[in-house]
Amino acid sequence: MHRIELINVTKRFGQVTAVDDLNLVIEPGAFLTLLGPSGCGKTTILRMIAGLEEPDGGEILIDGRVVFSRAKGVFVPPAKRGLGLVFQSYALWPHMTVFQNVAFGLVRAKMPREMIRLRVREILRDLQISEMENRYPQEMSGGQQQRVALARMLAPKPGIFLLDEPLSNLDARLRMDMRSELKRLHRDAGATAVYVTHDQLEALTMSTHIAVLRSGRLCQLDVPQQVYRFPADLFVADFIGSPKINLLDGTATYAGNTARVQLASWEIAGIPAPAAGPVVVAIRPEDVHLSLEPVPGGVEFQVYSVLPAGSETVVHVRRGDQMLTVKETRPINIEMDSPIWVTFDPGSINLYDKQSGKLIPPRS
Amino acid sequence: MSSTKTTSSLVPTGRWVWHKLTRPHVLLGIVLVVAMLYFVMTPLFIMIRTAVTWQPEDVRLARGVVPGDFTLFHFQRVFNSAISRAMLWVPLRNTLVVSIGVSVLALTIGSLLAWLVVRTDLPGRKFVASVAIIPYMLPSWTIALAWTVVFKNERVGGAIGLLQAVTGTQPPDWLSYGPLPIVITLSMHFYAFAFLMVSGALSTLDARLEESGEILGAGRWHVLTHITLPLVTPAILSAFVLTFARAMGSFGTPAFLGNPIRYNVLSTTLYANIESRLQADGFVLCLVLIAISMITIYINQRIIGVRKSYVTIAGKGFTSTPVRLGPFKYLVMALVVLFLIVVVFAPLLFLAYQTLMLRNNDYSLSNLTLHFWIGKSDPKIADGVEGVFRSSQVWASTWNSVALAGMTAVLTAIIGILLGYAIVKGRGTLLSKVVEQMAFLPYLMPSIAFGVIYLVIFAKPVGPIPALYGTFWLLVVVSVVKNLPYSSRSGTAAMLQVGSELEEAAVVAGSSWFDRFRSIILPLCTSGLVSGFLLTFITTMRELSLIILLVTPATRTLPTLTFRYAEQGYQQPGDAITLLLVVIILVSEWLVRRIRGAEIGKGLGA
Repeated sequence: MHRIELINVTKRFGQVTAVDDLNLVIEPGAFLTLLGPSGCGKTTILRMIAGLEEPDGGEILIDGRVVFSRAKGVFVPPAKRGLGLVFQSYALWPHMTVFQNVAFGLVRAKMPREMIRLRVREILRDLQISEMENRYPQEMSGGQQQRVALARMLAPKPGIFLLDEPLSNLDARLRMDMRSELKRLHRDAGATAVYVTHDQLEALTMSTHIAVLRSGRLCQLDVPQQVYRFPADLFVADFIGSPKINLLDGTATYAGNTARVQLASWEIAGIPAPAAGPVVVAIRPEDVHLSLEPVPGGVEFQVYSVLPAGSETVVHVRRGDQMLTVKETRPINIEMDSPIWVTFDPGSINLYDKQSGKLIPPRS
Repeated sequence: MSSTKTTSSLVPTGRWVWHKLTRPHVLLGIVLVVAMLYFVMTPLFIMIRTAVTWQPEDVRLARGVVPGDFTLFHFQRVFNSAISRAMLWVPLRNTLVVSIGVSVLALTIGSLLAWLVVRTDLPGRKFVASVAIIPYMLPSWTIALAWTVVFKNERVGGAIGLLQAVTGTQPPDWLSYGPLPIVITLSMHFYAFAFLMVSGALSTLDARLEESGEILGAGRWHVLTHITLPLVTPAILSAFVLTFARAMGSFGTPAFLGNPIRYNVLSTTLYANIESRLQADGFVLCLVLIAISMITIYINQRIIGVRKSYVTIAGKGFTSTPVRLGPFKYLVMALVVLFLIVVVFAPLLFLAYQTLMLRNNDYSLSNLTLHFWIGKSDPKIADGVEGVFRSSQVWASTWNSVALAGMTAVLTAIIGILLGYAIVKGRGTLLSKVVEQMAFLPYLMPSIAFGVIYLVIFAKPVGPIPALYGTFWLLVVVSVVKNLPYSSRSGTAAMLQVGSELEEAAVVAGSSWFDRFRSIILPLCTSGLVSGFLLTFITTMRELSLIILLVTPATRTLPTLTFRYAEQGYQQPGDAITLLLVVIILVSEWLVRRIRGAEIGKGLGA
């Protein structure tokens, strides 16, 4: 179990600040996902932990040992940090067989020949690619190459897994399988994992913790449930969740421990947050309820489009020029352009300060 | 407390700097910059310095001369004196005439052939493509030698050519020597270069661009002139400029076909100046050549810079429906075959025939002999020159040529990878840019000028390096340095192809730099560098102008030996050696292609 700490880490590429004064503690045994759009600095952070990139300032500690410090002039090379890395491209050496690829690190660690053979065989068996031993990477499918890359990382038994979008080159089905397998591998090895992705669903399904990044800054670090339920700001709210969250401008008045928000042509009352003034209302599509008949407190909308997808149906509804996305898990049969009544559960609604974009913490 | 703090913050700074400097690509970059300062910058610097100072040999030309003092005397002499017409302006005019003539003719033939091969249903296109590039592998003066076999007249040496022997009339001077034959024979060499460049551009052209035009109702001809041609224009212009630069620096052909009637170009004038020990004047001419070369390269960069975007859109190659030549198919085919016979096979046949002639004037069958191939020395024939296969000098030169070409190609490939590594890994740093720019510099200097510079510098010991003049190593060094621009290009391309993650994966696995280089980078690069290796081998094998001033009897190579014989008027041995060279080049090209599947077109560094 290994603990990783980043203290005031900054990294610039020319004029661009890729990582800006980042403080991040990754607890032993955690599966932390660095999540954000491309260019947010997530891969740079991973590479700095690995030692492939050197920060311009700050310190990086692994298990309390300084592995990088500009001020102290410390730089521990990647191989001495006790970590393994899987690249997005897999970076398998095309001129080496699967066996040679996986054995590479063990040979460099001066492990005896016989032990290398046993270890490589063991790991290939665990990953169900034993019969591929003498193949070259380019003779294998993408999924198999992915397994070889994992085997190569796992072979020296590193305490830290660094994974840079390892599943992004796989097709949807294979990705599902590998997610559960990766989770299992992490658990069995008792390792600390840092996982980079831009896929919010992957982050939610895999991680014990999610760090959402934007332009080199940390927006939110929390467990997946909290990140989903209480996004710290509008950027996180907008980034997490599919279909996208509904964000509506309104004006709040606070009375009797709840807020009432006046929207363009209707209002929502009973939101348990101390808000007053201009706000942004955030409602998850699954927290909007549809009804074909008028219901008490229901607001009348018009159906704009219906997108059934088997287990769920996404419905877009319109009132004036305001559009709402609704996720309906019940079987529903509605026509485009027909009237529909919409209700909300005020307890599931978050309010954001219009000016700062920050979450107004709900009263609990 | 505070004092310990200051010391502790000072020491790490030093360690930090040390850590940054000792990263492999930085160390390597520094080493390469120092080496190139020495081998590229110093020569240029010394040449300029010599051109603007009084030389010991000037003492007899002017009064009160102190050798070593600053003067513009040499510039004045070359640009504005009684001899500047003969020394600069006439050769300059001739150079421009020849270079422009060659560029126009070679480009026309090369582009047309490229279009026929890549875009039409011409029968036997693959065969045409592989035969058409043969002239590019041979020494450019092969065809010039063959030209003299056919067209020479009594004016020089008294022996008549094949044409006169057959028709009985003497060909006029303008057909035997001078600009017309120089332009024609050089074009018969350089068209292959244009062919390679234009067919490369044509074959990566996205056929969907043409098909879109057809769907919108444009006819074949309209598509060709309004879509295809504009899209390959950058490649054509670029080929034009590069052909111009190369034709300008060529030496062998203008020497063989121009010297007999004193039709001088810059390269031959420069050679004559250096031979007659007018070094400083020669250097001024060198600078003129370099200046013209730099201008053309600059124009090329502008062309590529402005219009490159067209070509890069292409990306993947698509097979389009070929243009149907219809009723003209076989007529065109016949013309192409005729052309290939004239430029590829006929010259070699004429050379071969000439080597079998005992007496120069006699074209009867009874005059045929193998004397110049296997004969013993006979004082009555060509002053006792031995048959090529008997001559120890030919064998020694063959060995020199192969050793020089082989060693240059290997060193160039290795240095190319090192350059590529320093450039690619240091991307965006000043050091990387400096390495890249310095490696490009030799490209600006015409071969003959480059040879001159090395002649001067390494005539005496420079720094830690002993006097290299007269040694084989000087030839290796000058060939490797002259090839730096190509090697750094192919090395950079190879490194980019390898990608940084493959090396980083090895870093994480605990592999040292040398280990990484040996087990990851080198194996992955070599496959990409074989084409470059082949190209370097062939160009060095046939190189004349770069080393003509640097060879001594002990270090002579086949091309320089040919030149020596031709200068002395021994045609048959010169032709025989040229044929030997041609055979060696074609065989090695075939071997490398068989073994590694390399193609000369891929290694083309232009």
